[in-house]
Amino acid sequence: MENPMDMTGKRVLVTGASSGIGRETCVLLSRLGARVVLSGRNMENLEAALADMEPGEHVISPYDLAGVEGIPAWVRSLAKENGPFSGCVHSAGYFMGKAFALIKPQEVRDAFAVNFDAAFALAQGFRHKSARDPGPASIVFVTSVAGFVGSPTHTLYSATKGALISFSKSLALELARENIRVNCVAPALVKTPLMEAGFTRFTQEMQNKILGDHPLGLGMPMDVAHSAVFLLSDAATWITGTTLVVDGGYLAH
Amino acid sequence: MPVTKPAFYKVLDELFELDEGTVTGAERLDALGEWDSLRVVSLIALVDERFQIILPAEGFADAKTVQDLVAMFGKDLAE
Repeated sequence: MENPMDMTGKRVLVTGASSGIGRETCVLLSRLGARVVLSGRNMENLEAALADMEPGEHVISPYDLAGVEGIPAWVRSLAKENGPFSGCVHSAGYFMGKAFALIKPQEVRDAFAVNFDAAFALAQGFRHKSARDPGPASIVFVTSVAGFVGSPTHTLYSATKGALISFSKSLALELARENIRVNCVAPALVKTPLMEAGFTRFTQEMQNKILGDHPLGLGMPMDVAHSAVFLLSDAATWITGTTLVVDGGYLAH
Repeated sequence: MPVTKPAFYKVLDELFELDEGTVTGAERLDALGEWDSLRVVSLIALVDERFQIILPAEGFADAKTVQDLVAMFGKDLAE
C-alpha cells in the first residue's frame, strides 16, 4: 500500500533529538525509512534515542547550538561526511517563564540565540548547495502557540517563537525557487520530562487553569512528531510558509 | 550559590523591586508589595536561578510573612 508520508532514503537532520518532540520525530522518521542525523547536547540521551529507533543509516552528531556562528559549517560538514540532506526538523529550544520586570538583557540575548538565531543559522547551512539534496527539500521549525497568543511570564518566550513564525514565512518565499519548503509546527503544552518537572512550579490553581485550556488534554511528543514529519514528507508538497497548530484545541478559545 | 537567609532576602529585594537591604526578615509580605501567583512563579524562578533549588509552588500562595517563605525551603537557612 502506498504511504504518502514514506521517507525512504531521505536524510533528515533533527536538532533537539535527545528528548521530547525531537526524539519522537527521530523514532517516527526511522519507522518511515529515513536516514536520520540526530543532534543534541547530551551524548547519553542521543544514544538512548537512537536505541528507540528502527535500525538504519542513522548518525549521532552532538552539537551545542549556542555556538551559533559555527552552525552553517557544521551542517555542511555533516552533509559531506554522510550525504546531502532533504529535510531538517529544528526542535531544539528552551522554555523560559519569568516576570517581565525581572528579565535581564543577557537573558534576552541567550533566549534569542538558542530559540531564534540557531534556527536562522541552521537554515543557512541547510540550504547551501553543498549540504542539500538537489531534489525537493523541507525545513520544519518547532515553534509554539506562545508565538500566537500571550500569557503572563511568557514575554521573552513568545517573542522568540513569534520571531520564528514570521521568519519562516519570508524564508519560504525566498527558498521556493530552490525547491525548499519551510513550515512550522506550533504545539501547546506537551508532556515531556522537562515539562513535568517544571509544572510543579505552578500552584494547583494555575495547573488546573492550564489543563482546562487544553480541551483534548495535554499533548504527547508523538502527536507533534506526526505533524512535523507530515510537513517534511511528500504528502505536504504544496504546503510552504505555514504554521500547523497542534494544540489539543488550545487556540480554539 | 549556597542559600542563606541574607542571600534569600536579597532575592526578595529584587522580587519586590526594593532597594538592596530593605528586606530584613521580619516583614509581612503584604507590606513589601502584592503577593499574587505571578510573584510566586517569579520567586520560584529566581530561587532556581540563584541557588539551583526547585521549590514546588504548593503552599506559597498561603504565605503571609518572609519567615513563611524561609520555611518553604524545609530546612534551617544559615544566618
